[in-house]
Amino acid sequence: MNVWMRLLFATRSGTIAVIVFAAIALAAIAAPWIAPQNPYDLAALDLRDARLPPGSVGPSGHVFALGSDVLGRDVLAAILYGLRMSLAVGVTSSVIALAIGMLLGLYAAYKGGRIDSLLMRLVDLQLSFPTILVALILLAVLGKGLEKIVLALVLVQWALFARTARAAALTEVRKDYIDAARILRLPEWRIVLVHLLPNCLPPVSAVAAVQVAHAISLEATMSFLGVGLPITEPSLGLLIASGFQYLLSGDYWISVFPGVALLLLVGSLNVVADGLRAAMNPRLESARAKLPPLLPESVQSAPAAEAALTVDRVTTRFASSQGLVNALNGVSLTLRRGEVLGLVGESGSGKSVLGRSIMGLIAPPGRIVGGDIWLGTTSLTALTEEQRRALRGSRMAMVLQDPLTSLNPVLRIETQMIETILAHENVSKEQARARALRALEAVGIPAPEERLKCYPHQLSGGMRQRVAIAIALLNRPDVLIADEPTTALDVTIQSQILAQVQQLVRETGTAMIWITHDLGVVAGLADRIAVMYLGHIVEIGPTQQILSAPAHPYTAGLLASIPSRNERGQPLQQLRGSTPSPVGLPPGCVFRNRCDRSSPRCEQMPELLGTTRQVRCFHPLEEAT
Amino acid sequence: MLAVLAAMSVIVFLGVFVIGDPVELLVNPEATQAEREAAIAALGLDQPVWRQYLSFLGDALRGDLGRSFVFNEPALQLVASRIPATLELALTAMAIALLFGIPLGVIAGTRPHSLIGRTIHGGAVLGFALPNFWQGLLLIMVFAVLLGWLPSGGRGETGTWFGIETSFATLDGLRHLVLPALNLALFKLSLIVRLTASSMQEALASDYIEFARAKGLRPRRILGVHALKNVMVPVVTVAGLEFGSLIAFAIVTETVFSWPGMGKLIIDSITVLDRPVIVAYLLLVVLMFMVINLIVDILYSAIDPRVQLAGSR
Repeated sequence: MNVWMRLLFATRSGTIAVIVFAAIALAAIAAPWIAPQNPYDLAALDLRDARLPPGSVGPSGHVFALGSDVLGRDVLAAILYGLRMSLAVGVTSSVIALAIGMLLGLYAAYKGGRIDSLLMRLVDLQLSFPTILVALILLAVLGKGLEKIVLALVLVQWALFARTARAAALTEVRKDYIDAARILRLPEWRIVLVHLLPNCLPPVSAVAAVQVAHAISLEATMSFLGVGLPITEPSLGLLIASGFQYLLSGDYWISVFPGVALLLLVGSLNVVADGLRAAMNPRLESARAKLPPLLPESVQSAPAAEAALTVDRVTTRFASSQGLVNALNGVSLTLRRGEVLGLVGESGSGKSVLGRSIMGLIAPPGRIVGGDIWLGTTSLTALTEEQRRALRGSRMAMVLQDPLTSLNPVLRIETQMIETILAHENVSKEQARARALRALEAVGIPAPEERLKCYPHQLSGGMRQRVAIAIALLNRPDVLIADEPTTALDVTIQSQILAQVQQLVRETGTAMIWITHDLGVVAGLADRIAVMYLGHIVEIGPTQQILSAPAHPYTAGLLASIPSRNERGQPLQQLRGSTPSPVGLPPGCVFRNRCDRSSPRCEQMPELLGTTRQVRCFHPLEEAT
Repeated sequence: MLAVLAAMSVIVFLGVFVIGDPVELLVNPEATQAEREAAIAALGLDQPVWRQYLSFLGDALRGDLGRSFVFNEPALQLVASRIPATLELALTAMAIALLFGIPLGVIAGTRPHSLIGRTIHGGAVLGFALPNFWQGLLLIMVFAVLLGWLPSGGRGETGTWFGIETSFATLDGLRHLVLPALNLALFKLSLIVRLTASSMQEALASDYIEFARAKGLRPRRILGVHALKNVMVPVVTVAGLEFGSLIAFAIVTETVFSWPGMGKLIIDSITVLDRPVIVAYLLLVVLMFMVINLIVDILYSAIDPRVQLAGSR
């Protein structure tokens, strides 16, 4: 079974929808053989059977399970024939529209330029009108008839297919294999049909499922309004219309049963399409997982009184469809008042998760499953969410990596600054605004009075990150967590901001964790450095000692791979292999599969040993002190 | 914009021109050949197509789209006289869709995996899937036939406010308005619910929400100001754009509930091939669409500071 099918059947509603649709489709296809009469053979109808309620036997002797209509037609038989027509019209028109729209869309994307813009303007123009109006105009022009409604439905649908196919093809066209085909001078039709088409089919086919349902309901609507199929053809819309006038007098069955059939057909198709769409969007899938279970409680140790922050054996896990992700595995560290700690590691090492765990920002499917975090002498895990909220932004604060996305695009800078003060203190808006103004000045923003009135998009990236830093420091926090705040910026801006932040935290006495993957950045900034690998701290100690004499083989590998520290002409050192997955890690030292010094002893997890200089390794390059 | 209108006038005119022969429907079958020809000449149908178009265009620029073959009234005036009933229906439907759609969408978007979130989402999928006329039938079936609470069709008694006839003025008018407005709203309601829910999910996963949480804002402010303000950007845009399609969908609702608006008029006119009325309706609807799109553009730039209208810098 392919991936789509599996995901479709993964939910109960998806499974039911597939079964309902399959049953309806089968019954519709088999209509001429299973229907109790041919309801559109007028000679076979008996007018004496007109408008009989469900379950009755007519004067002609025919049994009407779902009743009969005004012509003495068996409603069940008419429904089966109607479904057959609905499916035929829906599928035929959608398939033709798909073929036309897709070819035009692909060709436009492949050709680009004038052809592309002309076609897309036409598509946009058509799509700016509701399909029902376009269909009505077309049918008003074309008149009634089977081929005419199919033609109208094709003309209504092609534009959406063209747009979808073009969008899919635009990303494909930029890929190398299309370039290669162009260089090989393959004929255009071959590139479009053989190379482009198969790769653009998945998104287009999800649209197609919705479109079939849409075409079916549009045909029924048009026929109901009297501008679709002529009354000699089977159609659910016509059947419902013919029973409409009797609905008010209580003869419900002529309209209601065909309506239910239409509902089941269109409804099941839509649920199937919905499932397909969700299946193609993997982002939505992981959130269904259950929360990771809590670890059994262990003995708590009280924090050192002079520490600004104590992280004690914190373990954070995320539930995912692949299993539990061990993002943090019992991480411990302390931060003295005013101290700057550089937290270094590759992406996926857990350094950002540590920052968010401290801030209490881990949300489902993630969870802190064990350990404790102390802000001064307050245990954060013992607090209620409201108590934690009161500490966030006041006693501890955070700056995120990407300045372009961390400020709210639709709120003014002043709103975003003032609310940060008002959430924690009972001061007037004017006082808060005055403080916001001073904070902007402090981070070196020129003309702060004007900037306060700006929206984020009116400021540069560097300027926005200064604003974010100013917001984080507004309430003079004890601890600031800076999650790679300069990584996205130019090198010159980066060093300016680094110097400014360093000065500010010194003035306010704020302790700071500066998260980065760049050892160069923390060299001049941090008092101490902690190195993380796969959710463990592998080495922690004073900056100079770590940089000049790394003890853990991983730290040494990291340092050796910095280009500027190497001799010109010498080959760059690199760590061999890649980081293993944090799901279902085998026991033992997490670095051993990439380590030159590993021994059978490393099958066990080494402890983080030492006092000022701690290392988690049985075979360190330097001894712990 | 004018180009689109001009193109539409050609397409509509040519399109409508090829539909059937209105003479067959309008002239007494027993009429003599001379009478028939007199009727054809009176309707201007003896001229060549381009001539007919030019005289149509000339008249159209003077606001004259011809006289209805059936009602023998100026077509434009006839269509225009039905606008208030349709607008009243569409506005009420949009109000219902927004009033219920946004809160339901917010709930579904904030708690997408809870039972209530999944129920709302499922309801929206169904509401989106069901043909409009069938939903209308169901409403009549339940509220008019089975429960007998509300009338099944017609506009009921209207009152006059500021010279405009409206159902809002009388209780009977309001009672007649409920079911058709609900019917017209259901589709848009589903759309608004889905859009609000998915925008909400997107907003809640964004960096600015995480930063807002890191600032220690209260959940109510995060949800009600930071997330909702961003959600409103696509919702208002779509609601505006969809207002035009409400006028189009009113065709179905008005037919089901015998609501005397533009939609019922166009369906009746298509059945009897009343060409001037069809042309007048289509041109008027296209014009309305363009005005709506313009208003949406202006509204959009008012709620999203990143959007600047060209020329307003």
